[in-house]
Amino acid sequence: MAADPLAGNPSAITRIVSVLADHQDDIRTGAHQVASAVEEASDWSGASKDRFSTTIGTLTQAAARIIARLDAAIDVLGSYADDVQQIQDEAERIRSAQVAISLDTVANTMAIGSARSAAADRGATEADARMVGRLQSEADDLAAAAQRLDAQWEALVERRTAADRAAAAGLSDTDVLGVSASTAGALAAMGDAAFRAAIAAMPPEVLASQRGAVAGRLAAMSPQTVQAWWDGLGGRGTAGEHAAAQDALITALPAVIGNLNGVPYWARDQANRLSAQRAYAQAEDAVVKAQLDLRNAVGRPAEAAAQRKLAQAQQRAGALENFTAGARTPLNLRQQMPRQMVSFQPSDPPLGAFAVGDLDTAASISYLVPGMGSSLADTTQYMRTASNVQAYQQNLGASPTAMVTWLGYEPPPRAESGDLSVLGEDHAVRGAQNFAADLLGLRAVRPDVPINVVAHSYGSTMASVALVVQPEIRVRSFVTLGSAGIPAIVPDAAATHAEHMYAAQADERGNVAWLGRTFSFPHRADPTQDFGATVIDTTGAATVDLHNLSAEPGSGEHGYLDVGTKTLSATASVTLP
Amino acid sequence: MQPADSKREASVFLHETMQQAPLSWPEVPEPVATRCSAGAHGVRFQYLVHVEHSVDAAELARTFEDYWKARGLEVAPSEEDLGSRYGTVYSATARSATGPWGAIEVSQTGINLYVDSACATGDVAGYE
Repeated sequence: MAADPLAGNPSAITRIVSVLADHQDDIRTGAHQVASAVEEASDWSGASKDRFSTTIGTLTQAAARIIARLDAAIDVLGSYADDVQQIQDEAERIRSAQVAISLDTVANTMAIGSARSAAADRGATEADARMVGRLQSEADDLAAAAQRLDAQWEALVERRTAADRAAAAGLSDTDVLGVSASTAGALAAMGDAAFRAAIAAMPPEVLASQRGAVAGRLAAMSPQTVQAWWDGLGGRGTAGEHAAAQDALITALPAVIGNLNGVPYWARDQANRLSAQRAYAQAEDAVVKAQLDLRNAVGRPAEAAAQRKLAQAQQRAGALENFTAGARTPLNLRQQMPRQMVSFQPSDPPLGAFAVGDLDTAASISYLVPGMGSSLADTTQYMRTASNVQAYQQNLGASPTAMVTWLGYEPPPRAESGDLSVLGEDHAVRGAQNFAADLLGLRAVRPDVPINVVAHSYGSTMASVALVVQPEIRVRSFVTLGSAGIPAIVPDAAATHAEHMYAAQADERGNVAWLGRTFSFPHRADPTQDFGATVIDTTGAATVDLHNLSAEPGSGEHGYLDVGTKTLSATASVTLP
Repeated sequence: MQPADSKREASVFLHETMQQAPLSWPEVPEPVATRCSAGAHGVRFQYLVHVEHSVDAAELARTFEDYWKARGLEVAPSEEDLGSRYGTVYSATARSATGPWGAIEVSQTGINLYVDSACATGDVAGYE
């Protein structure tokens, strides 16, 4: 279709240029402010500042690239606005001239008609004949002028077509987009090696724009493949020393990198902290919106529905607040240890895992797997409980095991809620897939490190399924505390493929674990009864008398990992490096 | 009880316990807050002080146990043999109907001394 030289509004294009220039100023100011914040925080040091500085370093570079791309877009649009304005001015001149010629032609035609009549009259003079000739000559001139104007119009149409094409091409250029449209579209068609090379070369803002095409593809790769690819970007790296491409991937695709088995844990930590902070901010916004909706609700049914939504929003925000607090909550340790956000899924409910210890270097890694009713809302409580194991080991003069508080599955709710799914295996089977995947991911990057699993209540039900179906995990010590029962698919301790299995069952108030096993369907076994596990004594300076991992201090009761229990000392002993 | 009062009481108990053994005790670190029941919300403070030692672990453990008993606390001792590498670890808990609680883990080379304050009004989230 031919372009219309009069189409478009150059003023509107100029306004877009102005808006883009304003965006540039905002980005420039924002990047300067965050960079200044790092410099001004002179009393802030340590790993968290290193992580922040690394992220900011990536961000300021990305900001500079975006500003440059906006510059390119502004140039293209500015030239286009000028071209369109000139073409329209010229088009109006041609159209005016064409109108004038049309009017002159009409007048000329009428004059020729009159002159010819006069020349044909008996009394016609020679002057009448000359008039006809002159008018005919004028008619020829007018026709020639009209043809010239038509030709100019056609040229103008061509010029406008060229200007439109130049603008479209300019705005599609890599200087503006950062990646060619053909490259973006071709990612899906690339082979795995070419795909990995392509995304490693992309800056973060471009990677972020390709998130949909990249996420699923990376997640489908084996941990070994991911590990080789990541190492190819600049070695395993550390939080303080790594490749720019690794920074770009962490910043642009935190939800992908944070949970990508095969990526080192320092990188997953950085990515997951970004994702979790973002999810927490969104959850807080959702609470504010739910509060507003409740205020505006009219009628009891609407109020009740709004109240439910508010409660759900608050529960989610509370869970995410506690999970993010895991990065800073004080722990009673002789020597503090690094922390890593090992995984994070902003699902409903949100899931995740937090480590106290460096999973990239720890001499031993132990997973604490809670049972029914657990959620991210209790992350810090479980981390404090897990730290009892590490404090015990530090007091021996030993290097403590890294403890991962693993809340990566949706456990059944507490039976008191009326939901009795704790008696079934569905939650265990689904959770086992997540747990096995995480353990296999760890095994891929740490092939020789001792891995231990300390599983409580229904966590032992779930964990045992994961261990029986994935023998290559190679767990060293599998400890069950107050087990809700081991499914029939795991007939004995040997079936877990763990080097050693240990089991503790206390005389619990309310017989919680016993009830869970006795009324389970299909029936689940007590691992302390003829199962092949070494039975752990539950007495001690503090005798375990509660189903929980930790009792409320001062309550007179004791959970399985409370200070003074033999279950704590045994767990600490069998998870030592 | 207000958090400051709860911490002060626990801190006094902790220092008096530390004085029972002439060791190179470090500065007492800030306590860790945990949840407890005191109305809608409650917070309890747990102190942990660690110190190295080179004396008889069993005797050291008995020193603390005897002191706590003398103060009227209900003391429960225990020991765990961790084999030739780490030897025996002696543990004890000391309960009181009111006031702070204590616990020790005495290994062949170090002591973990825990003191839990009484439950105070407050929310543990404010300390995380």
